[in-house]
This record gives sequence, structure tokens and C-alpha cells, in this order.
Amino acid sequence: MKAILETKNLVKYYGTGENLVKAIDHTDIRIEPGEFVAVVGRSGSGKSTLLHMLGGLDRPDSGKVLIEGRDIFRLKDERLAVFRRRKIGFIFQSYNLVPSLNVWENIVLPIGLDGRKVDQEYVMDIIRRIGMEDRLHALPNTLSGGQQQRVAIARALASRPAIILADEPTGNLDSRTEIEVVNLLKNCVTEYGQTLVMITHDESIAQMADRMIVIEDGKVVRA
Amino acid sequence: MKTVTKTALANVRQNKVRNLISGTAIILTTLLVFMVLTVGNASVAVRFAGVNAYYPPYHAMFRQVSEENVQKLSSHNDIEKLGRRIDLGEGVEDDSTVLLMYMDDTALELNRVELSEGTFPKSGNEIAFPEAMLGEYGLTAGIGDEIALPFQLYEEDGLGYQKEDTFRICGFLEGENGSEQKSYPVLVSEEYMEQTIPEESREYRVMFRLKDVGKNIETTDAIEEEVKGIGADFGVQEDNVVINTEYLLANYIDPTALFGIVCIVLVVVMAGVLTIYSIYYVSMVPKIQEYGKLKAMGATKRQIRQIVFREGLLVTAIALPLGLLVGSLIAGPVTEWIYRLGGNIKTEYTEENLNTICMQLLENGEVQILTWWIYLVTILTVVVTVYLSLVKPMRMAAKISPVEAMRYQGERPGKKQQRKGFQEMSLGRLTRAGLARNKRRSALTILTLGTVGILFMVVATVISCAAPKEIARQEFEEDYKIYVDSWSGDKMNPDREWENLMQNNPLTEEFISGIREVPGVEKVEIKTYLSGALTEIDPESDIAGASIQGLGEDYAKEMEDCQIEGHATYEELKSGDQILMSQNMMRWFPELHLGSRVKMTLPVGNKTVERTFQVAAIGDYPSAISWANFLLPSSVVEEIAAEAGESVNLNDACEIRVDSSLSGSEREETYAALAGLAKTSEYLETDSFEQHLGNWETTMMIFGVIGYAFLIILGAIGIMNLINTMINSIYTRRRELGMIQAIGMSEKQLVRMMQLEGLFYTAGTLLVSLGLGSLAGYGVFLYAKADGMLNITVYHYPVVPAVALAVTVAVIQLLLTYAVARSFRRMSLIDRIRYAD
Amino acid sequence: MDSGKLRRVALAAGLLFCFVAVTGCLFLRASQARFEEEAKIMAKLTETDPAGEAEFAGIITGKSNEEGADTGDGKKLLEKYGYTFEDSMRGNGLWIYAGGLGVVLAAGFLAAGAAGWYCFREKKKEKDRAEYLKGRLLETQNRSEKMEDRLRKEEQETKALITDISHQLKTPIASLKMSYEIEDSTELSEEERAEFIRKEREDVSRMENLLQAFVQMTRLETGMIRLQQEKRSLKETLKQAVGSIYMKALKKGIRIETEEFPELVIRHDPKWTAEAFGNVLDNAVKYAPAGSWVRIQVSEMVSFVMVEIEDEGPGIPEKERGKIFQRFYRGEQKNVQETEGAGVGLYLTRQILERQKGTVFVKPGRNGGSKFVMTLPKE
Repeated sequence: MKAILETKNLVKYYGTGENLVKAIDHTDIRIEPGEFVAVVGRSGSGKSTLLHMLGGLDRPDSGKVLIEGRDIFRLKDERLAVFRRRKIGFIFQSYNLVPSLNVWENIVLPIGLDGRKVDQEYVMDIIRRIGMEDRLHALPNTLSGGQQQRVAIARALASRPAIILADEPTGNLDSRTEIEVVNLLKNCVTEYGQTLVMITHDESIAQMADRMIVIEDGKVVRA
Repeated sequence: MKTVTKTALANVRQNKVRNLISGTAIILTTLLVFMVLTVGNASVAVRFAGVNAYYPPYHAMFRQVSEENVQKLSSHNDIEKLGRRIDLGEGVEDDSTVLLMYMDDTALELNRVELSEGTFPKSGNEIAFPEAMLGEYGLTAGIGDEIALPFQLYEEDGLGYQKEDTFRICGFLEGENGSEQKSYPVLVSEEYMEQTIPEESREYRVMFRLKDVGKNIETTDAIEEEVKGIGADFGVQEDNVVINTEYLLANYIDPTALFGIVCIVLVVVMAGVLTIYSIYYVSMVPKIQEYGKLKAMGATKRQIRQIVFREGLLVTAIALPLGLLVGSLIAGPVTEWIYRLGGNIKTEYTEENLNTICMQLLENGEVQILTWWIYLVTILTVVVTVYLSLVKPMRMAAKISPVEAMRYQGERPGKKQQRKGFQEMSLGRLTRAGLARNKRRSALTILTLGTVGILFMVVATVISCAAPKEIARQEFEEDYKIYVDSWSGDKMNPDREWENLMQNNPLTEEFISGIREVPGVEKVEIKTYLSGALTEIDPESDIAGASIQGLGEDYAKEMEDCQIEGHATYEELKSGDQILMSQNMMRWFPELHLGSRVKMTLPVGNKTVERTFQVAAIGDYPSAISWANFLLPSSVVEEIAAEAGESVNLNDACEIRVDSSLSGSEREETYAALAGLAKTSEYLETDSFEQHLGNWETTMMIFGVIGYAFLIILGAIGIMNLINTMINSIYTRRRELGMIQAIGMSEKQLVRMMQLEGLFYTAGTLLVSLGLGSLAGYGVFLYAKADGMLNITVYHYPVVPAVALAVTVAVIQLLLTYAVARSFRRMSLIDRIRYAD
Repeated sequence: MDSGKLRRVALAAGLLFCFVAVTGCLFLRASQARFEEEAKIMAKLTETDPAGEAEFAGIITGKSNEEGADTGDGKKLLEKYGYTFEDSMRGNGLWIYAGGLGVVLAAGFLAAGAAGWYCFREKKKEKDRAEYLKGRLLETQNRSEKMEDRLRKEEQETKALITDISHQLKTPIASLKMSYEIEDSTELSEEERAEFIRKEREDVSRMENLLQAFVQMTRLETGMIRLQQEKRSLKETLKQAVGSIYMKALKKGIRIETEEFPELVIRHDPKWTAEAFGNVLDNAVKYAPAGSWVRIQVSEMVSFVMVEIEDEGPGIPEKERGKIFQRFYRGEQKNVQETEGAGVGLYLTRQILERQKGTVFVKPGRNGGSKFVMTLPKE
């Protein structure tokens, strides 16, 4: 089957000499459409760097990242930004909602930035799913961490990206909320047929994934 | 405490950009405060020095003081220095005045009599006089030669019979060569004086300086009172007390000027406080976490406050000396430059020589421009400014609780819980929401920038309204003017009194027809004049006299148009018992109003006429029409003169219009011809519209240059603030912006968003500046008009400065946005996202 | 030609027409002004010199043969009277027309520019839209491809399942076969025979167990049955699950503790869900030492219900935690290997829960045992 997301001999080093950190060291990963893949590793193992590369946020030293067979780093910055916002949804550990916008606005912001019309029904469906339908006008600073992360999930889903990249999405949450949020994320992704790549250091969370990729010192240890 | 300083120092290094900006703002503030004080102080100091070098430096003079009283006075405790002078008589010479007098050394000093050659007379028949006098007598002689001079001594009842004596020339006095007045002092020795005048009939003039002037006695009035008191004690009649008003006035510090300087300094301080405060406030928010950490580690509130304050103080410690250094370097040239420009202004009021002396003093560096107290005041002012601007940020940093600080995500859990929001999002809406969240910061920035803008617009409005041409037109009716130069109260020159001049008026019919014959002269208007006292209200003319300008039929329209209260046609005024009064009179005499009956005592030739008029109308007329307090038809003025039965000529001035089609050189020729006519009498003076225009142009140029220079520095302070806001709004949000980029904002959109924000600040600043500034400008115009400031009468919107301001703000904003965006883009997206993680 | 293009052309034509019309009008006005000017001159000239009427008319109409007339001289003459080129511009209002023309031109350029820009924007929008739609189409294609893939995968899995099942069945069948062969070929004592029969019975029952698990698995896996999700009490379901292992636990002296929880009615298939819980409980009882406890805890969350089952058994090593939910996976430790099991239970549990949008994962328990965390959505 065709891979939706693929890395080929990906390399990214930071620093030089004694300070050289091999964040990604000749890594090959293959992720198929509809998969839920957990990337597990200790902090500093290079998993975040890998995710940033997958999302086209950072350029590698060498190697390729293919999304739907297309080498994203051959795109110019501007095109890459557009490509990214149409193909990829990001979820970060620290939610990163725009504090000046309310829940609804935060969720539809990527669609707006893409200059598209909002599919109100679809977005409302997501919002209902995350259980925020009665807090549409709330500002982020009035929400709990779990609520904020749920909004962030909705935001990542709203523009119907093919791939969702989540970087420790539950890192700031207590274990119960964590389970709930991952559950939600997983269900949404299955529901809308999206591919989910999630970084976590929590092994029990990783068990919920279809597949686990373990990274140590920039290398894939176990796929 | 050492740790606190160290932390502050580390913070200085860490917040490089912020401190660079605030440092620049402090430098500029320092510079402004320093320059305003220095230039203000220097102008006063230079003037004092000039005045001291120019005018005789005595405070007062008593006339007709007996020998005995001179001795008593010289030992008076309040008198610092006393000089004696005694006039012996007048030399006999037809077309010049030669005055024989004796002066002691102090009198010579207090009168600024100086030798160009030789010595002052010491004994016997030695004399000293200006060398030019020899020419009057047709003599050639050198020092040591003897000459015979005919003279008349003063006696009890006037001048005595002509005598002649032989004198030996011991020195020549400094004097203006070719002086028009042709008056020459001749100094004789004390011995000669004592021989000539018996002791009992000696009447000295004593000139003296008081002690403590400037300390206990400050105002001219106080000096006058003191002097009169002393005079009264020694039986000097008030008539014989002469105050050296010129000198005193020249020394007098105008409290409004001081007030003005204080106001300007306050404005600068305000701008400084607002800017530095805003810089610190804006950049404090992202630092809150740091202070929270410090607090968690055990720092007390006081220590946190100290850290913030010391950080500011450290920056000040570098910026303040820099500002002072720059100020010290440019203060001298700037002051000199202002004086050089000022030297181009020539009016009938300015003493040309005084300005030259001032220039010389400045160029020779004889006036100390930099004084220690200005440094002290500047340092204090700036430190207070910095302290004031740091009070709030200090408190903000101290107040934060450690737990809160750790969670602090850039904004406090605001009062606002909800936001109506939009259904669809766009870049513009995102920007708008961001600006709305930071309302306080946005408002603060716009306000600081706007304040400078408002100031700019106010100054621009004043400068624009004070159009030299209009002001000159206000002062000058036609193109050229020949007028009789009369003044009153000069006992030395009684011939200048109007009642004397009118009997010997050079503006005869013949002379006027002479004017009409000058080629290029198109029209000549004659104004007549009468001057007297308001018999009942102010018989001594202490406040204002009864000056009446007589205007011909041609002025009927002007006379009616200028009326602001009451109404009287020219025909009605012709009746002779009604008068048009200047509105200025109401200020001086509040009891006067429409319908008042004013009694006047009007001297005409050797007689006086008493007349009572009813104020039929109150007028506000420009000085071009007349500066007299009352206006009447010429016919009425003539009637009054006729009533006295004296044959007098009341013609005061000829307003001459020159053919407007004449070319520049032809015009010059006409002017030269007219000036030639006026030269025929020493009582005639000339004036031209061009002269006034030129003066005003220079004045307005100086005013404009200084005003705009001041505003530009103030503007630079404002721009520091703008830079800070822009940088902060971008850098403190770099993570947020990075995230938004991760979820789909492209670089282009990011730059567009920054531009939109910049546009908002620009628009806001311009709205405040141009909107409020225009309103404030109009207000100032109204005030200036009511107050007669700069002769402003017509409102002109300062279009060019307004456009320039708009363009400047827009361009600076654009450049700033561009620069900030550029430097921001240099940081990789991933660094932006990682920041703060 | 689509309507948009037609509109654009019409707009351009209209603008052009307006432009031409306004320019024309201006020219007309200008010539009229000139004509009036000439008429005035004519009148004035005739007035001063009535005799020269014809000649003047000739000059003005241009019929007079004065081609050779030097304009230079005329200009000089005019300038002598202070009449310059600028005056002529100002005098007869020509500059008004020139200005008007300028304004019209500028407006024309502006309008054209604006129209061009508008078109450009529209085109760009269309392009963007097209690209977006292309993306959507690709996505849909991907999705259908994915569906196909899934079908293919299922097919493969069914094959794998059959292989797996036959593989699993091989062992007991081989054992049974061997027993029969030994019985047939060898003389056995009564005791030995009894022993063999017992062994055979064991094998059969093992096969029975296996088959039962297989049947369930296949039914679930191959989509032969659908989970009947309905609003039912979770408590009831849990009771059913506990009931299925209660006797076993009692025999082993294992206490089953359940923390009190409120009645929760959620959408789920009670029979299969009980099976899922039962499998986890069965494992707990199977591997835990006698006299230990199994604790069940239910908690309600915003959108999920969480069921935690903790035991005091040997626990699961970290390495294996990710694998225990795989089909036919059996722990590597000795006691697991020794214990009866097909490696199907936890696999089924996960399948059942995930099909109901729930999850299951395991983390270490407090006393060295395991804690299975299972969630089910409330709705």
C-alpha cells in the first residue's frame, strides 16, 4: 500500500564538534494512511525534531520527507506553508491557542488563513464531539488545560488535514484527562479517516496506537 | 544588596534591545532638557553680558545734588558705587551740541566712557573729547596740543555769556564717528571745574549702583522704590530722580520666559516619562516569569523593585553622561547660530549694536554657556524622569506572585471571559483581535506618539498662521512710509515732543507734493496725530495717553469695519463729540466702555485744548492702520487744532503706495528717492513693507527651525517608543506567531499581519495627531489671536506640515515593520516555536 | 464564452465607450470655444477696420494665401503686448479642456487598472479554489483507496486467521492422534489406558475451548456479527463479567473488590462488553496467586467512562505491554507458558472495546500486578 508519510535517510544534526547532537540520524519511517502511530522515546531522543521534519516546520540536513509521495522540502517556503496548512494539522503540548480569539475563532483560524469558507456543519460536529459546544465564545484563558487541548484538537481537525501531528499533546495534562484527550483524538482520526502521528513518552498512551515507533538517539530502534 | 545589583546588571545585558532603545530615549530626553535649559540660560546670560557691555551700568541717577549730599550719599550703606558728574556749560558751535562736563573716575566707569588715545584730564586745563569734534571746529590738533574753545557756562537762569578758554588736549574719547546726533562731550579736570564753579552753586549728578540688586531687590519696581526712598532721605526731589530704565529693563528677566522654559522642560519630561514608562511597561510583560522565578528563589518585593530600578538606573548611568556630552558639544554652536540668525532681524526697537556685542561676546567665548547648575538640574530631571517611569513597572514586577508568574502566559486571566467573535476568520480579523486584546498597550503607544504629534501640529499651526506676509501687512499698510519720529518725556530732546514738532513739522504740503512727484509713487495717504492725556483717568499718562490718529475719508471703510462694539459711521464721527476707541484701552482702563465720556487734555503747540468725547464705538484695528488709542476723522483733529488757535501741522505719517507693476530695481529706485526726501529732515524716519516682511520672515524662520528641531528630537523619543512596541509585539509573541505559522500562516501572511498592525498604529497615531492636533492647533490659534501673539489673525491650516507628518509617520512605520519582519524571519520557524519551551 | 467573461468584455466596452464619448464631448466643446473665440476676434477686428472684413474672414477660415506668414513675427508682436503662450492657454479656456482630458485619461487608466487588478484577483481566487478542489479530490481518492485497502487487508487477515487457527488446532489434534495411535498399537495396562483417556478428554476440551474462542474471534473479525450498541447499565454488564469468573475466583480464594460507583447508562453491547471485561478478569484470576485481590474501579469522565481492573499478579514486563493485545500473543514468562491459554482473550477485549470507540491499555499496578485501563464513550 502507498505510504502517506515517509522519510528517506533523514538526517538532522545540531551543533558541531563535541556539542554535536544527532537529533535525527539516518531515519527511515513509513506511515500508511489511516494509521495511528505513536513515536516513543526519552526526552532528547530526537522525536520532536522528527515530528517537526515530518510537518515541514524545519528543514533536514539531508534526506527526504515525502507526503503522499511528494518531497515537501523541494517546495519553496511559501508553497510549503500553504501545503502544510492543507495537509497537516498540528497539536502541541502547550495547546497554543491564540489568546485573543475565542474557541470558535481559534478552531476556524487555519481555514480562514487558507482563505476558505468554513464548513459550519462539519466544524460544529467536531466541536460537539469535543464537548465544547456551549463554550464557543469563551476565551482560552478561561478554559482548563484539558479543554484547551480539546480545542487545539478541534483546530487541527477543522481544516480536514490528511495528517495530524501531535507533539506530546497530553504532556501538560493529568492522567485522567490525558486518557480522555487521546481517546478523543484517536476516535476523531478514525472517524475522519486521518493519519495520526503522536509523540509521547508515556508508554501506556502509546499502547492505544496501532503501532509504536521507538526512537533512541535519533535512530529508530523498534518500529 | 550586591546580588541585587549583579542581577540588575545581568538583566541589562540580557535585555539588550530594550535597554538600547530606552537608553536612546534617555539620551534624547537628556539632550532636550539640557539644550532647552542651556539655550534659555545662555540667551539670558548673553543678553546680560551684552547689556553690561553696552549700557551704562548705573542703576539710577540723582540730579541737582549738593556737594555735601554727595559726600553723604557716597557713604550710604545701600549704595555700592557712586560717581559724580557736573555739567559746566555748552560749547559754542552752530550745528552740534558740545557739552562741557566733569566726571570722576567712578562716573566715567559707570558711563562707559573710554579713551581711544591718551589719558583722562587730571589737572589744570586738560581736556578730553571725541576726536571727531575737532572736525566740527575745523581744527587739527593732536594730544598735547592746546586749543581754544568758546563756551557758555550754565548759570542760575540759563546760559551765561560766551567765554573762551585755552585747553590742552590730554586724550581722545571713544565715540561713534560721524554720529548723526552731533553731540560731543568734553571732559575737563576736577581742578578746572572747581575753579570755574563756586562750591555752593555746584550741583552734581550722581550715578550709582545699589547693593544687593538681584538678591534682595529683584524687580525694576523694587529698585525704583529703593532709589526714590534714598532720594527722599537726602532731599532729592522726585523730578530729579532718574532711573536707568534701559539698563534695568535690559537686565530684567521676563518671568513669562522663565515660565515658558519650565513648561517646555515639563513637556519634555512628560514625553520622556511616557516613553520610558511605555518602553519598560511593554517589555515588562514577557519578563514577568523571570521575576516570578526570582521571587520563588526567595527575593523579597523590595529586592525585585530594586532589581528593576537598578536596571533602569544602570542604563541611565550610561545614557545620561552621553546625552550631557553631546549636549555640551553642541550647546555652544547652537546658541551662536541662533544669535547669528537673530542678528538679521532689524526693527526700530532692537538695538543693533547690542546684538553685535552679543555676537562678539559669544564668538570670543566670553559668556559661559555651560554652567554647573544646568548639569545638576538636567541630571536630577532625568533621574526623576526615569524613576517616575519605573514606578509602575517596579510595582508590577514586585506584585506578581511566584505561582502566578510561572503560569503567566503573557496576560493575566482577564476580566473578559467571552468574545463575540466572527464566524469566519481572516488575517485582518486575527490582527484586529490581537490589537483588541492588548488595548492598553496599543492605546499607550498611540497616545505617546500622538502626544508628540499633537505638539507638532500645534507648533505647525502657530507657524503656519504666523505668515510673515500677513503679519507684516498687519503692521504695515502700504509699501513705504515716511513718518515724523517723535517721542515724549526726553528732557534731553524736548524738540522731539509732538507739541513742539507740530510747530516745526517737516511733513509740509510742499514735502508731500514732493513725495507725489517721485516716479513710481501711486498714492499717498496722510495721517494726522494728536497726543495728550486722559484728564480724569490718567492725567500723568502713566498707563496710557490719549493718542489720537486722524484718518482721512479714504479710511471711512476701515474705520467702520474694525468696530467690534457699538457702531459709528465716519460721518457720525465727524460731528466731533464722538470717538472710536481701541479695544486695548478696555484692558488698561476697565472703567472705560461703550458710551463712556472721556475727557482729554490735548496740547497743541503752546496751548492745550480740553475736549470730552463719547466713546461711540470700540474698534480692533491693526497697527498698520494705527497704533494710537483713539481714531477720529482728520477733519475733527484739524478742528481741535484750530480751536487752539495755533498754526500747527498735525501730519504724522505718509503712507505711500508704490506702483505694483514696477520691477524690483525700479522699486528700489523709488524707495531710494523717497529715503532721499526723508533725509532732508532729522525728524523724519522711513520704513518699508519689505523691511517688516524680512524681519518677520527671519523671526518665523528662527521660530520654525527651533520649534521643529525641538519637535524632531521629541519625535525621535516617540519613535523609540514605537520601535519598542513593534519589536515587543513581535518578539514576545514569537512563539504564538510560530504556532500560528505551524497551523497554517505563511510568511507572507505574517508580514502582512505585521504591516496591518503597523498600519493600525500609524492610523491611530495620525488620527490622534491630526485630529486632536488640529483641534488643539485651532485652540492655540484662538488664544494667540486674542492675545495678539505674533500678530496672528488669520487661521491657516498647516497643510504641508500635516502631510509631512503623515508621510513621515507612515514611512517610519513601514521601514520599521520591514526591519522587524526581516530580523524576525531570520530566526527559523522552529526556534520560534521552541522559544520558552 | 461564459457569463463572467461576457460581463468583463461588456464592462471593458462600456468603459471604452464612455471614455471615447467624454473625450469627444471635450473636443467638441474645445472647438466650439475656439470658434467663439474666433468669432469674437472677427467681431473686434471688423469693428476696428470694417473695410478689412473679407481679409480677416479669409485669415480666420484659413482660405487666405498667407502660408508664408512668419509665426515668429506674430509671436514677437504678441509678446510685445505681454501676450505669451501661457496667457493663451489661460485665456481661451483651453487648459480647462486639457485638464478635463487629463482627468478623463487618468480616470480611464485607474478604471482599467482596477478592472485588471480585479480580474487578476478573481483569477487567483479561481486558481486557489481549483487547487483546493484538486486537493479534496485527491483526498477522496485516497479515502476510497483506503477503503479498498482495508477490504484487501481484511481478506488477507481472514486468510491469516485461518492459517493461525489451523496452526493453533494442530497441536491438540496431533496430541489426540498420537494418543489414539499409541492406544491402538500398544498393549496398555488398565491404569495406562485410563491415563490416556483422561489425556484425550483434556485435548478435546482444549480444542473445544479453542474453537469457542476462535468462533467468537472469527465472528467478530470477519464482520459476521455486529455489536448491538444500546443504552444499557454498565453496572449490569460488569456484574455479568464478574459472574463469569466468580466461581473460579472463589476456588482460588481471590477477593474481587468493586468500588461503589453511580449507575451509568451508556451505549454499548452488554454481551460482548461483558466478554471483554470478563477476559481481563479471567486473566487476573488465572495468573494471580491465591488469596490476592482484584480491584474494579469505575469513574466517569467528561466524555468517557473509565473501567480500571487491577490485580496482584506477576505483572507484565514493560517490553511486552505493547504486544499483549496482539492476536495469539502469549507471555514469555514461565508461569504464563505453563498456564492454559490461546492468546486470544486480550485481543478480543481490545477488539470489542475499540469497535465501540473505547480503548484499553495496561500499566503496572501498585503491588507488582497489572492495571488494565479500559474506556468506553458515554454517548
